[in-house]
Amino acid sequence: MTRKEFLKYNAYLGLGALVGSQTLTSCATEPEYTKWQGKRLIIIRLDGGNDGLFALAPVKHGLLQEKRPVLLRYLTDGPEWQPGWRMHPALGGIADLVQRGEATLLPFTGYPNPNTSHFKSSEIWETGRLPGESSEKTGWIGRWADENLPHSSTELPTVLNLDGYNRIFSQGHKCEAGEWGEESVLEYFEDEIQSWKTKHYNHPLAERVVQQEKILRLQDSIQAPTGFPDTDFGQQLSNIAGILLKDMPFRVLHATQGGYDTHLEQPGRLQKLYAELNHGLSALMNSLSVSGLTQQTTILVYSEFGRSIDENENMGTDHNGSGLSILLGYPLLNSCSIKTFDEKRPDESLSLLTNLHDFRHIQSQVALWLNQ
Amino acid sequence: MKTANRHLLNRALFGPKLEWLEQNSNWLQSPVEDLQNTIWESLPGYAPLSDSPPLQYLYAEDLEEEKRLSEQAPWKSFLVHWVNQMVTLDNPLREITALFWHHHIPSAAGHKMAHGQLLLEIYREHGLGYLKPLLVKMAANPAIMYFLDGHHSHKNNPNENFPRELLELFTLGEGNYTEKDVYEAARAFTGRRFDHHNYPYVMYVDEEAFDSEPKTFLGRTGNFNGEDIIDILLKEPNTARHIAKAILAFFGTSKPLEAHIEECGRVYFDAGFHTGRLLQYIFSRDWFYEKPYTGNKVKTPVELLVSLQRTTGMSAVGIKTTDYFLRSCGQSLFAPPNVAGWPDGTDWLKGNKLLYRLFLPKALMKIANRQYPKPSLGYKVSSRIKQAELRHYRYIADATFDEERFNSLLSEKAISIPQWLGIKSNSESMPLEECLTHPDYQFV
Repeated sequence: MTRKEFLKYNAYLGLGALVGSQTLTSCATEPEYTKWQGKRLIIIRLDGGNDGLFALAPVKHGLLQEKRPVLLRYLTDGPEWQPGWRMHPALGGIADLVQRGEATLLPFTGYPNPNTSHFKSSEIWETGRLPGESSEKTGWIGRWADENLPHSSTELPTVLNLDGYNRIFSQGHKCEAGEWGEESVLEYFEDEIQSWKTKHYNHPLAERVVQQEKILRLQDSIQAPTGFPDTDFGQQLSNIAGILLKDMPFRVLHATQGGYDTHLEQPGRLQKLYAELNHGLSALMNSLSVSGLTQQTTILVYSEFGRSIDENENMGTDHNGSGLSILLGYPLLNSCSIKTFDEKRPDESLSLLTNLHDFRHIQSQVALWLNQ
Repeated sequence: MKTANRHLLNRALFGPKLEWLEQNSNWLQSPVEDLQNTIWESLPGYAPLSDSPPLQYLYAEDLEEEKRLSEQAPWKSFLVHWVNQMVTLDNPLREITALFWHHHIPSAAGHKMAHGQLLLEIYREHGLGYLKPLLVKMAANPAIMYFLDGHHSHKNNPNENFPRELLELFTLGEGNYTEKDVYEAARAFTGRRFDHHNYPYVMYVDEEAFDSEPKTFLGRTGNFNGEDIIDILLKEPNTARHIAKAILAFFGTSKPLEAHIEECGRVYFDAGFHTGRLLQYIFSRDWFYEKPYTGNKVKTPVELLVSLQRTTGMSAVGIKTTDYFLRSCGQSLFAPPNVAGWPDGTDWLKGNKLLYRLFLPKALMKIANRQYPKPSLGYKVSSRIKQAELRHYRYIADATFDEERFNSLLSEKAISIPQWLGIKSNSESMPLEECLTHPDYQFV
């Protein structure tokens, strides 16, 4: 390839096929990209194993009252979800969304025979496969993208990680997630990047360099909305809102809120995390509403597992089975029927292995909706 | 340089030093069997980092700035000191092995970095010796026990965080224990407390909080305490296999062959979990000098920064530069992303981390030679080099590429990239900056 050919090739890197609802921006001051105005999924991971029973619990359940004499008290003044169920008081904004029919709570979401390793359980959630089902390490979104979207190594990625970590959920045979980064890299290395691309355009790393450069240029062009928590997680959500406002072509966006591994001092730690989550999700839903995107956007909030019903001596809880998932946005509100405990069932029904909602059902509903 | 020597030096010692390249020293030319012996014979004895000489700076301005940064963030000083040991020691095998243990048993230390420093000294002192003292001391270290909630566990409700990671990540590996084993191990580690009145904290056992009732762990029953649990873990071949796999992944390739994992697990077990003997065994195997163990390991950011300085003679100045480089490339020491530590393999080569690691080494060399690529970057990093004659240009390629790869690169460039046509022969080597930004430079 000659330099002239390379420049020609480079010029095409930003162009994609004009299909469906896609259009091409041509504003002179912004990088070119293929706009996407269709459906999007936002995945929010509560990293470390959120104690679902501290976010939402059947507070009158005998076994819970016996095993959580201290922790349960923190829910006393929380908003009521359904008769006998209360949410943590810091989640009032999410409770309002539920009341308005903009969010669904799915308590005890998990899978049979729960694994209590952070890494194994994350792998199960992210691959969408139980142990032994397949040795193939692809993620549920990666497979969806492989099967349903055309892949081009020179296009922007389908999935964008706002948290800077690579996770299995987006790994397909072709699909690979992009990462949000710092714009200053371009400022520092602009000339180097251009020169490097001409020399190594045929190297496997070149695709990644080209993609990252394009992401950084897009990043530079967004104006992230205000009103989000002034934290790293808040910044991730604010950037997501900015991406959506500009119709950028990422179909799946992933953010992470860390700190949920609360083996000790849980009340204070979760109070802070829930307040941040509540603030962030409320602001994001508000942004979607203002920009008219609520009908085509679904937000899935999940954690790799829940925590033990027993509170420990350190005012914390240990790893255990199913946890709370939340679906926000209109499209999927009725796709997952909400299940709760029958008051008449024996107390053992609140065993930690209880699995009212199978996470794979939620994932399949999301994938079906994305394809509709 | 002999291909086998290059491989061993890169994996065991963060690569060759500039002086060796200039003098074509024995490190590069002796038979690899001799080099294997030299590595063990020249290994310095253990001494705490605090006993090593203070950092040297070429310019007074650097010293002043480093003093200021050190006062702002004193915990970062010892990390830079550690990285500097990796760069300056002829034989930093102890340091690269300590880095392995920091990968395998990672811990954050927050602002109580004296606790992190104590943990690092455990890894430095015992990392090449028997595993038991390393594990016993690690389980009494405040950095790791606060990181994994092991400092507050009570017999009435044992905290499972530390014992779970001890079994899953540090010793047996997932699938080789039951939930009951985790619970029983948690009982044995109850009562561990730290004296908060003196910093750094020292561990003691609160007998009131310790569960003194019998426990059954991995099929054995007794009134076990934490050290007993470690003893039992060291009777398990799965512990040897799990750690041998991690060692092969760190020193060899991210996906070692199953047969070699089994082989090394047996060797480690038979050696009584003596890590130095396992490394000695691995370095002396023929297969260690063949695919998949050669040429395809992605350098960790620490390896990238250290090998760059060893091979070129360039110094990345102090806290400012070391911290910025490692953070930008995704590896802030004693601040791992999670309890499993850092990613490995090609996960390092993604996002902004990739751009930084491709272009920062060259930028540092330019700054050292008083050619500031971008003034704004000059505020973030500093680098110095003793002689501005660019003598390092001549040797970097030799340290980076083997002869076959070098010739193939020459051939590729002659065909497709005019900038490379200035290279006339192997002896003149390729321009340094081309080597530093070449994709192959990311691998070792």
